[in-house]
Amino acid sequence: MPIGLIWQTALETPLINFMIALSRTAFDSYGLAILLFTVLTRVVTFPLTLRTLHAMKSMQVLQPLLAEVQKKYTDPRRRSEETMKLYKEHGVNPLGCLGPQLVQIPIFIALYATIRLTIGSTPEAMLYLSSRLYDIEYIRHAIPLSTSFLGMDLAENGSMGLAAFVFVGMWVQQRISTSRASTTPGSQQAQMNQMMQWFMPIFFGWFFVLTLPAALGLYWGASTAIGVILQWIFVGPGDFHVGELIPRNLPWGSSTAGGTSAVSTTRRTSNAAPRGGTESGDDDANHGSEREDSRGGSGPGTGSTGPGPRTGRRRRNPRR
Amino acid sequence: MFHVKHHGLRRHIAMFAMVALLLFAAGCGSVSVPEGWAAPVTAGDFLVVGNGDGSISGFRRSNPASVAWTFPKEPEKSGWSFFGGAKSERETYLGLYATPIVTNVGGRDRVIIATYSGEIIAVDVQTGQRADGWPQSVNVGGHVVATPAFDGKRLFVATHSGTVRTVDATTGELSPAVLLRAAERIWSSPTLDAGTLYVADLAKHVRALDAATGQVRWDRTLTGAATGDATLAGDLLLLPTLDSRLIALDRRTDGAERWQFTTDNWLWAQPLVADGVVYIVSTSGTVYALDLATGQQRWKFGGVQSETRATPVLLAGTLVLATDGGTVFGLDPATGTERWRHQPTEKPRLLAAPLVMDSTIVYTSKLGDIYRVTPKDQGVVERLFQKGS
Repeated sequence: MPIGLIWQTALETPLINFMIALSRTAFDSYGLAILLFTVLTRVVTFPLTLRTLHAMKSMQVLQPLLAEVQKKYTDPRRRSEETMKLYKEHGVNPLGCLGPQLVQIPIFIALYATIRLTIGSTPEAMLYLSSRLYDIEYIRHAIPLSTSFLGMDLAENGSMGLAAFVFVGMWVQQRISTSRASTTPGSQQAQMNQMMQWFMPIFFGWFFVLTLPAALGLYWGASTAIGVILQWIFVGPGDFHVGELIPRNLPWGSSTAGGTSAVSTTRRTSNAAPRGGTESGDDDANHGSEREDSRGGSGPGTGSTGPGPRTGRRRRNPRR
Repeated sequence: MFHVKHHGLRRHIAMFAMVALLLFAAGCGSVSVPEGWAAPVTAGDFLVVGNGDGSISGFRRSNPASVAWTFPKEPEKSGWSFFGGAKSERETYLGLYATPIVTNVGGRDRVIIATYSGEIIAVDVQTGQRADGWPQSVNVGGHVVATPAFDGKRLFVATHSGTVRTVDATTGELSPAVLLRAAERIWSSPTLDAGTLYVADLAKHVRALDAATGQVRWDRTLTGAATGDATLAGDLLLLPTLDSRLIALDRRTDGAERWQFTTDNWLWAQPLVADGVVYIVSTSGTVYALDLATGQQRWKFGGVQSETRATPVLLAGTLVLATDGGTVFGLDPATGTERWRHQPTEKPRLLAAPLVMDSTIVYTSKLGDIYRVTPKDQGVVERLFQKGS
């Protein structure tokens, strides 16, 4: 059986029919159906997501110990061995965060094909749809789907508003994800974090929203928003402050906090500074390795199980 | 082996892999690109067909194997541009679904095409150039899928946005007034008869309008959306719908339903009426013959088994049907028995409505190839023109 046929029969066609049925159930609103589907996907993949979030949190807990290993061993091979040992001792799987992302790939691709077909923006797309529907009256008679949702035409390219929503959502997600990474300023990892912080939101905001059907942007935006909420609940916001979203040079931005500019400074250094660090940004920037020693007083040699209870909330307190 | 930085790197690698796959997936899909299925027409000595690439070609009827002209001409190749550069005329006109309208202005034949982009263009049939006096741009403000209705002077153009506007066929002047604003897309061609315009939309409404003023004479709600073209038969308006029903409305009595007939799949092809019989074909390819007066089934033929959108044709005592898979069937119109079937080896996608010309049937494929079907005896299917040949 050709792989294309398997893909169609096992994933694409069921999803097409499911989305149409969902749309009919959701008051004939395809936009609402996409939002419901997003929530449903998130519910189904929640065990995987939870594993990722736990892995993420565990990795953050391990950061001081890992930093110690980095500092202690100069030989890359020995360093790797010790790192793996540390992972093993604490039961952390460094690949734990990949699962949900990999699971999302086929879902997203199938959804992409589904949206292009079900929305029937061109006559060919709609005609082709007739051969993909199950012989169920409830589904067959739901066509054509209404493509209007919240002032958008879901069959046309996404709007700037939707692009901005996706951009902000992804930026926040990236920002929270990297908020406690113990990277040395100027290191390859720090640069990569910095690059990804901007590249991914811009890429998704531009390519997936402005050049593809808005329905896909809606799914991505909703999925990102749920991701941010889950990350916030289970991992914590780290040193991220909502005020960071307001540009500093705007008149109303300055009142949110002298905060805003201060946060921006600490954010930049937080990539370098580990959790619990109380040093100033300048100190971090200038003494990236020293700060590892002063962090919370815990380390591999202390016999401590690590700074487990250090949550994002605790971390923010010293900065206030 | 792992070390402390690899966790973040892996996440980034996974993200890049996802982006790459999504880009790949995005590149694979093409169903949302409008391709078009405009029917061929004859205009004077010319046969005019759509090419599926945003252009139309004119052939002399005496020599359909050779292109006389193509409009618009092939665009000159430009350098690669990150932002794609300006669209060529062909890219702008891509997706020609509406059958060209033939008219004669000042003794010269012209075809008026309504493109998916909403542009309405008149082309001189002799020269293949934009007709004299036609404005550089006439845009009705929405995608056009439905063939405009034509009263000899004005075109009634229905759009994807649900509007109906008129365009003067001589000057290209677009009327400022909108004749109708429907809630949904209009893909079914408006039908004009005796000053009344019948318009069906995807919001499951069919309306009869005063063609001069746009005043709604009656408005009926259907159980399914109408994408296929309606057929007028005496007092009846026959409307194929996506809920698999053919609805017969009495257009003299405020659109009251006379009868309806349910088939095995959507109805998109325009019904054919001949000698008191209605012939319809579902998108699954099942052909039905119904009594026009009662809607009772006379026979059914289920041997096609292929997506079908082209209207059936009755010629020389044979009911001819062409499919998306490229097979052409000849049926006995009295019994529905199959007389012959032919499938060209290249399996052309025959979705466009056919044209009866010189006692033969002309089909055009999605690519712009031309086929001639002679239905008598065992039937003959010939390819007259292959695009690119």
